[in-house]
Amino acid sequence: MNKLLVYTYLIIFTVIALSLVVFTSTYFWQTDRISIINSTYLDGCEKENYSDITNEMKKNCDGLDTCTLVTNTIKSTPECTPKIKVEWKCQGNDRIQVSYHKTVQVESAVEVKDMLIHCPGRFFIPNNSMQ
Amino acid sequence: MKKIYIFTIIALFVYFLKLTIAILGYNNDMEIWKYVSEGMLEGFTKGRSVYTYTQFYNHGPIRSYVLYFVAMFLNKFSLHDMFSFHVVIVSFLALADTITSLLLWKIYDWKIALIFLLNPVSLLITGYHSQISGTVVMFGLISWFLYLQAIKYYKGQNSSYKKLFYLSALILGFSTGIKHIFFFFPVYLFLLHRKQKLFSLKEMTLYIAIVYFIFFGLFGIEILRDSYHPAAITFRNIKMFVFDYRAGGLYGNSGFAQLLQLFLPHQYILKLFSFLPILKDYTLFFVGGIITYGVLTISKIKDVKYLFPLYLLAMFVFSPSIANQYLAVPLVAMAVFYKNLIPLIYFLVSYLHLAAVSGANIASLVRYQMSLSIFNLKIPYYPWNQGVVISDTHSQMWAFLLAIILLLQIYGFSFKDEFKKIIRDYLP
Repeated sequence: MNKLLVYTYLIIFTVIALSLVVFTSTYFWQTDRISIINSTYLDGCEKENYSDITNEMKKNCDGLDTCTLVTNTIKSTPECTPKIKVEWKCQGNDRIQVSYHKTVQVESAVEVKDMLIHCPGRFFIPNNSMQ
Repeated sequence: MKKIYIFTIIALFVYFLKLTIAILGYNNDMEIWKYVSEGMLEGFTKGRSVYTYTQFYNHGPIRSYVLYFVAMFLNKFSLHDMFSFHVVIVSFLALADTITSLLLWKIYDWKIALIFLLNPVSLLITGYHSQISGTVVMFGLISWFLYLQAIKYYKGQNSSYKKLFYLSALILGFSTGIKHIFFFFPVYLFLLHRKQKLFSLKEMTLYIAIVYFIFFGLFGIEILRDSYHPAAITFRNIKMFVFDYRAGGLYGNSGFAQLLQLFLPHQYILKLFSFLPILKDYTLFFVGGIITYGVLTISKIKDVKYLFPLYLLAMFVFSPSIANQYLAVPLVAMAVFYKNLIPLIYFLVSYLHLAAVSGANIASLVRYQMSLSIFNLKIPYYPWNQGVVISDTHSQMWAFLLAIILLLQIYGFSFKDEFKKIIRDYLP
């Protein structure tokens, strides 16, 4: 019983430690340049008038470190509020890859929705920095 | 494979992992450390005291001396960036964790040493947050190891116990000069002396005097050493920033303080218990809790070696304020009492808090939800955000529960036996 308990501790701790290894490693493999993987509409709104959002995103964002996408063609209607999910990576290693995703709801009051996406960055500086 | 090889491999892995985590970033505390080290480099030899240099230094002065040497070392190699500074600091702190682990092996058990070495809370507190508490615990444990050896020699009537005994006092005093985690530990040792008649009263009194002489003497040195300001200013600052310090506005925010607030409103606690000049309001309950816990445990404890982790546990459990770095204080206790299972919950709850909530900021590194794909196998990774609030007070309450269970066990109550008995009584 005692042995089992020790193994439980060590296995859980090892999994966490290894996950931290992977987590920290991803920051070495990545670059700051965005590469759009995919973008989709998540709701059942009419899409006939929408342009190909993935291509639109690629055109606007690929290769940049920060990108603001303006979805001119998307509007909310009383019947439906469009939601867009965008997924991107930061041009890292292909075998072990970190991707990020964000879902944006187009607010009914706003006709043009800005979407800011960027790579997380490798070095975190605190919000309450003295400098 | 021999245990020492397994230990060495894990120790090296953990050491380098902590260094790797350090390069992810830093928090506000590390900026203060660097600010102090630069100030010390500029003015230490001219008589600058850290207490009149900044208000963000709330412990004994030894760390400021060490930071002077760190700044000198980095300056020699023209390394002025935060990255290099953080890595050098973590290299020392991670070494202290390894030494603590070795001491746990020596005093307790190698399984305990491994659990402490690999625990995820130390990975984030030492690697990312990088606070000094772990190093203070290491010095406390060295002192405790010498104390236990002194007891062994004393019982065996070997006169060389005195050297170990007083060396233990010197090291304990030194640890309080870094941070006053062990400020009340001499009281525990005195209670142990009264209960088990260990050492003479004269020796024990001298031991305690050495510890407090070092602690208060170091502040005295700072007052005399400060050539930038009059002694009255240095004294006033030490009083304000160390002795009257209230954890940067976190005073009264802990789980223990919230527990007290279930019995009495916050304002009542502040008003009703302010009749003593130093031990007022929550501090009265903090000190009262530690001493009461000590009296209760020491009166029944069979194996004195468990007193050290019990003290650390009490120190954490009754704290009136709580911040991320405090989570490192009871880690030795959590490893030593690992069989209770609550420590496992403590480690996991504390890790989730550190990884997900803004304090340690590991999760904040990822500003969006993150997926990891390894050879096209996609798994969600660090999906938490700050909306998932696992608080450090949750950790403190688990530790509180452990402290109560351990006390009951010391008094001979066995949950396992009682549970079996209850079940048996219900069976036909």
